[in-house]
Amino acid sequence: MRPLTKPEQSAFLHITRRHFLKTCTTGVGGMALGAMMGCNPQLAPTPNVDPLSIRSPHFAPRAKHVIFMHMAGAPSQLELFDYKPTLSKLHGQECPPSLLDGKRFAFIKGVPKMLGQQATFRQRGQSGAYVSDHLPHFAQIADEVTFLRAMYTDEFNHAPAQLFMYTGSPRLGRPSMGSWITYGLGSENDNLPGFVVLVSGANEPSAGKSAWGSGFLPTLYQGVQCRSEGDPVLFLSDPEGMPRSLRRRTVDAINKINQEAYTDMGDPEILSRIAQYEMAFRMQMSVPEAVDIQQEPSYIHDLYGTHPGEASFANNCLLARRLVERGVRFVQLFHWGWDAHGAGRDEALNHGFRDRCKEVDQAMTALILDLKQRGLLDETLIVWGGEFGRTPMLENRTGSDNPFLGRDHQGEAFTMWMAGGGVKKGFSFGETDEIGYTGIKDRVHVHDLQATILHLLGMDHERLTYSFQGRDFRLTDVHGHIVHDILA
Amino acid sequence: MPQDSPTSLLDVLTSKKSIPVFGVLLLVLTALALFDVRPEAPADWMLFFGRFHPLVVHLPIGFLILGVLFAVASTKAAYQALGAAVPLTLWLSTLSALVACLVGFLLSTSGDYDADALALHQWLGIGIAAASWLAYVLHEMGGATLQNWLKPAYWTTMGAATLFLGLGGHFGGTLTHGSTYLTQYMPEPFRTIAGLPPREAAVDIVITNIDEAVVFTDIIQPVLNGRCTSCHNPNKNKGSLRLDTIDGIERGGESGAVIEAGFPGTSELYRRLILPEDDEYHMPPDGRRPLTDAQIALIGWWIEEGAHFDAAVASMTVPEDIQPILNNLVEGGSTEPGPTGIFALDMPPADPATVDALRSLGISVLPLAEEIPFLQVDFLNAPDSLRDEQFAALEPLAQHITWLNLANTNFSDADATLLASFPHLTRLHLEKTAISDAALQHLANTTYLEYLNVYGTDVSDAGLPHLEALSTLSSLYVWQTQVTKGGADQLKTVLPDVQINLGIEAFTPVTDAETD
Repeated sequence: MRPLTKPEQSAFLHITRRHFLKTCTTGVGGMALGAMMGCNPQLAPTPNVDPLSIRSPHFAPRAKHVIFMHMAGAPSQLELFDYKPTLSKLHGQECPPSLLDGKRFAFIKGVPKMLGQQATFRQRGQSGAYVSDHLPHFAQIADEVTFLRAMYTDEFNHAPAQLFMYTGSPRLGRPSMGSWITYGLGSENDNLPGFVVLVSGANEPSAGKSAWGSGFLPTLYQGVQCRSEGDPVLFLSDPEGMPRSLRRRTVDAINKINQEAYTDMGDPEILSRIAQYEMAFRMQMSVPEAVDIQQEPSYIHDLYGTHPGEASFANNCLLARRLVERGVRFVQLFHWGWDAHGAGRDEALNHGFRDRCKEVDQAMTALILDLKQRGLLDETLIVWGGEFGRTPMLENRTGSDNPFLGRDHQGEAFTMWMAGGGVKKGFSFGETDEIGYTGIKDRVHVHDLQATILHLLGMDHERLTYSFQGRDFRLTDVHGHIVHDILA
Repeated sequence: MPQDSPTSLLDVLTSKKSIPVFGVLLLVLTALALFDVRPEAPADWMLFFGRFHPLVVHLPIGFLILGVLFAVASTKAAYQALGAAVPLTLWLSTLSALVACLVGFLLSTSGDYDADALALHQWLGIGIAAASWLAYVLHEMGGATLQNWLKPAYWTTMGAATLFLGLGGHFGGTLTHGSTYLTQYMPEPFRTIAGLPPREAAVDIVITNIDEAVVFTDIIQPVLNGRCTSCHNPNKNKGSLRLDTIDGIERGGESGAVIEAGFPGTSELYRRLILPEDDEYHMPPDGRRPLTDAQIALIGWWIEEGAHFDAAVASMTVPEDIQPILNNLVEGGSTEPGPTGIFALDMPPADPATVDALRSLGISVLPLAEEIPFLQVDFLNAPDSLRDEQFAALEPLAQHITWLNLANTNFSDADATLLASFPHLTRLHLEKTAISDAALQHLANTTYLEYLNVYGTDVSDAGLPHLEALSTLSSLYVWQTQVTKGGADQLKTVLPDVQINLGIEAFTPVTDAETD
């Protein structure tokens, strides 16, 4: 910035505070008029309504709970669900340039070779859906699920794609699906949070905690991470020697001060904080009981393949069932390690990928069947999938004599499946082309999936909004069409 | 500026170039209209520009009315200055009227409009342009100010232009919206004063005896009248097709017959209904609400049975999928979709005081959804030691409760007598409670029940016969009970649609297929 000249300085000296305030009157008056006419109604939430209290959906729902199983890293649909014999015939051939023109790949450079399917596919059950031999348990229940074979997304890297899947935007800052749903519907169980997150695998998902964050919604709606080994919820238990009654008096004192602060300042986040302290107090009793999978009989452990005390996806599935039985609205499971680029053993389609399959296969099948026999599958929507798909081309970062096989990212075609509350059984929606490169029929965008999930819970995705920074936001942003064809 | 003597016509014509140009355009338009020079198959560009007519036509309306207003006002001393604006508005009005006529002519090549109505509107439109032009010329000759013959000529022309505008505009509206557009919703007593027939109802079919009902008149025609004739009527007949009379239907449209008796698949009328919604030939077009599945099925059935205009239902074969639609019509239902099951019942909202009383006991009570009076009741948060009074507290809301979750409570057979007074239950969770077979006998009145969960209770095969009357039951969960496969199969013979879950059958053993 250049320094002011003398005449400019003296000119500015003649503009007084009075002038400034006078020129502001129209703007300030306009803002006041807006507030008086009812713009930004969220600015004054009613203090005596518990923000987590259960609320009615917009219309009669089919499902009351959601279990979302996210396979972080993007599982290869070409090795699991999308049978493409043409691709296997083209194995080893160079990729034609028409498939590479204008596309941006995460790692593929130059002209890659095509990689045939590294799996044997068979048609399963009465629906005849193709499921590979990598998921032998799941293949037995192919008739329970709806496959969305032509899912597509706008992102091709992990963190943005995961954020896109869960928050509707590839950038940080928006609330996640579980937060929106808890915000819209509340929690059934007074003593448990409405949104619980369970993470397994060697790492956390790339998007980090923002994948279950509350964004600009009150922080009360954030996902609570439950761990299946050690302390179930961090920082929840009282220190040694502190009786519960003392904790009660502590919470009461803190909330009394918070209440006074709210009366002074009117910041709605304070109410969220008060509710969180209350919820944390109740959770101290309810969570240890809910996560204690040791209580389960041994045949249940055999069914899921769980090892109590160790962190595993199977433990998390069993935990998810227990949480849904207790009325938790949205349970999000993450399992990391599906990013089969082929750059190392753990990332290879012929090694690490198969281990991942074994880690999830029995557990997710057990979850569906266990929910079903308890009569909960009718009211619980289960969704499984990654954040994008993988290329039909071989990704070969380290050279041509790499014993490890892998595929690169692509967002044009991947497969997800849904089961339970309100979706058809034994149904397949969407088709990809002969090599699984892109979807050609009945494509479903991530926003469409989000709209459909909200629809099954009885919420109109266009009406579940929150006013922030001057406009109404919603999970599906300004997109999203409900996929009616998969609704039962 | 006041003048002393009139400017001669020749001077006016030569002083402003636009005047003779407009005059020539006017002659061209008149010739086009007079000799009806319209191609049979209009080119795309003609229709493209033609569709701007509804847009452009508003300009001469505005300019002309403003011009007349200014001219009239300027005769009063206070508004004298406005007189200076009149020539410009008349010039603009002439120009825009000529453009409107031109694109209007292009639009008329589409052939979608009835010839007589079109001709009337067309000539009036040309008349507006001509009168506007003439008024401009007369004004320039001094018509506004001079006291000789010019003055009455000028004012007569202005008056004529206004008259043509009103009439021409009205007929233009009729062409687009139909002659009944303005009067359709006219309330009484004006209707009778205007001599109009009473208001026709929407697609409401009332059939008392289904066998005697004439299929076309009583079933198909109301659908056509409600959903098709807004564009296929005497005044506006898109594709030259009229669907408001039997004759019109039989004659078909510009691509030929629309009905091939006995073959809905090759009947254009039916084919267009079943095209994908985003297909450009799908009917109804342009994102208008599509016909319901029931309506499409009825039309297909009518065509397949020979498309007779006088046949009654009794003389036709009624296939399986059509019968329920016909039954629905007899019961006063319509072919438009509507709520089913309990949602079709008329129910006042529940008493808020009773609901609050239940909530204070720790029971979760909530409407099923906004605007739905039925309630879901959940004992999940209620204290473990429930007393009889708490179950009995549900009684006042017996008519409203549709989802009831009593799982994990000490609900027993004695309490189950309550269930007999809950007729609108659709989902009932009784898993892990203290009930046994005796409780199920109280479910005889719950005729809307779809879901029943009794896993982990003492229910056995003996209790299942109590459920045989529940024809809407679709899911039954009996894991960890005394119910056997035999008992379940027995129930399925009476209720073939019910899915009974006895628990997981063991997985078939899986051998490792992986090799490295």
